[in-house]
Amino acid sequence: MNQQPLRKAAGNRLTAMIQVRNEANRYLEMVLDNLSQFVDEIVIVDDASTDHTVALCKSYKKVTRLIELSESHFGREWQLRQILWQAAVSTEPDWLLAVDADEIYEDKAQTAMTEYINQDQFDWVGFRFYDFWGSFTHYREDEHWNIHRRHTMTLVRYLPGYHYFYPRMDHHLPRLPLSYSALPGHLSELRVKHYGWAGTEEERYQKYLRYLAIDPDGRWGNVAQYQSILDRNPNLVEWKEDV
Amino acid sequence: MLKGADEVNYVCFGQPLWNEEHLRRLLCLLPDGEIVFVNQRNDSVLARLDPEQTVALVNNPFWIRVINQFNPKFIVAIIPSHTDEEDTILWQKYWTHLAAKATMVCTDSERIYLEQCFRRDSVFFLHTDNQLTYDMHAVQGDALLLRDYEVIFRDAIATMLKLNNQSLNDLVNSQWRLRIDHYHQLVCHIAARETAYFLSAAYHYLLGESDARSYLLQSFEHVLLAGHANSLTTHYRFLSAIEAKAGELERAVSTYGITATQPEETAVYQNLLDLLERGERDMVQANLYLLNDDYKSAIALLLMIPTELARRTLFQAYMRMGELARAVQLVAQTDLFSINDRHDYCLLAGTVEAMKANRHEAIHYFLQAATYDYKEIAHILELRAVDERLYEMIGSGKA
Repeated sequence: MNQQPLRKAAGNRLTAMIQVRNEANRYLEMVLDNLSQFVDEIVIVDDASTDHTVALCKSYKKVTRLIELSESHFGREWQLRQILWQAAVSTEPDWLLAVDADEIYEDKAQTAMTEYINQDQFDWVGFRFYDFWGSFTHYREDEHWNIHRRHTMTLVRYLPGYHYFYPRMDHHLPRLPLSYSALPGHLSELRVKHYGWAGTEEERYQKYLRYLAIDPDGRWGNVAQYQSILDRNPNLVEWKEDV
Repeated sequence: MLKGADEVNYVCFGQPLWNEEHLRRLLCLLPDGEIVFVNQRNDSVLARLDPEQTVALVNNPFWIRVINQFNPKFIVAIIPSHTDEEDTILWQKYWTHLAAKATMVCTDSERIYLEQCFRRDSVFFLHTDNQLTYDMHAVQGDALLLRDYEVIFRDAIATMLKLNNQSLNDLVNSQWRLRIDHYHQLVCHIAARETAYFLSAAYHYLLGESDARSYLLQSFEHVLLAGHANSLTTHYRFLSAIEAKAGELERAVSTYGITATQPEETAVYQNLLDLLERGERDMVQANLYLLNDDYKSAIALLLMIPTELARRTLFQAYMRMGELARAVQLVAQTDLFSINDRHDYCLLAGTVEAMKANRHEAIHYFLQAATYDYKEIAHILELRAVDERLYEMIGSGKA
């Protein structure tokens, strides 16, 4: 029997994993175009969409696995994460990229990702995420909106047999198992554009109402941050493409 | 069995700690026999005792040479948890040597207790959080109400005198089970659940029970939630020992591999993969035990593997756990082909002779080692340092 080390420094494959719900008219097409440039496979769990999300997903040839849930798991985020995780690891990936349906990796991801996954020194990579606000040209930066000042882990090596553990939370669950925090990681300067707040003022207001309804006491998040969604003149910084 | 229980002598080395309440209670539990205290290096009391009928109880390791010279039938090492010397290298080193020589090892420190349980048989814990009375013991007309560990200690001494190893193992197991019960109750009431789960896993492992796995994983989850650093090596790696004990060697090697993030660990992992590839499964299992400090399981296995590699690994295991007398017996003439080998052998043989109180032989070996590296003279000075430390402690009433 040929015994191979768990961590390979070459020939690794990357699978992206996304959970979606009614994303057909938002940023999903952009996201799938973006991912198709640098991942090998895309695994999607559709949380009972009522629009054309499923058809859109099926139109991408790198979408190799699509799980269609017949009823929404909203409020049962822990279960949803488990379903997505199981679907993703069933592709026997070497690496996984956890993506939301409104996140775009900057252009140089195409080459950077190959380097990140073909090494045997670290098992996860964190990137800087920027919250775009009201447009695709500016991101928000202030006391409550500064996620780009730290790193968010989204790229992980899949180690078969490791104990993968998600805390049992209904909302604001980490997108990847907490078990990765014990493994060695790398903090990348690669940037990710988060378009979740890039839409109209009305869209942001509806999101504000939704957040307050789910978490009125700030149990899962921060009430002050929810309130700041309504700020009339937030501090916006122009995005500059890295050339 | 001894000639007769009524002929047993108990010699307590080092007066002061025996005055502490919990140790005085233990002395009351000894089967009939004369109890004498030795608190001088050349105490004449030893001369009138028959070593073959004597149990030495010792709570200071610097007595090791006196004890080895006297050579009693049984040695009960009682390692105290809180002493001024506790953190000194010399103190720990001499305890390692004495524990290796002891028939029974007891301690009131759970850290030391578990460490010793992973090294040898007949290890007992002299502490409990359980306030219940488990038995009564008549002492000069009074009834002593006994805690769980006191009952176990009493029965262990009686069993040891009958030379009944199996029953001693039963007592060891029953104390592990008491610790599991304790941690199962504790887990609902404390914040540091990761520790309670981890210790539960360790005791289940020692008992050879599959529950070890789930407790270990719960411990790992809690340590992740608490955000503690190094949990991969402090907690998760132990899963590889649990899997090795269950015979799941491929899985165990993978688990070790996940935790192998440093260059030296990666090399060890590659070695395990190579051994698996060559079909040397017993060696894989023994190495996994060693990587998790389970010397007892590793040595039991290595003793049954008739290969040169196993002999060398066994030697390293004995060295790491301080079983130097056994280690020196494994050295073959063919091992000593480099200057380094001969230097290391002289140090090892010298230390073994020093522990046996063969001072001249020890000095001879250390001087020989010094011809390879003059710094080894320090070992001769250490002999004197231990003697002086013991005299100081005797003089100040600490030994």
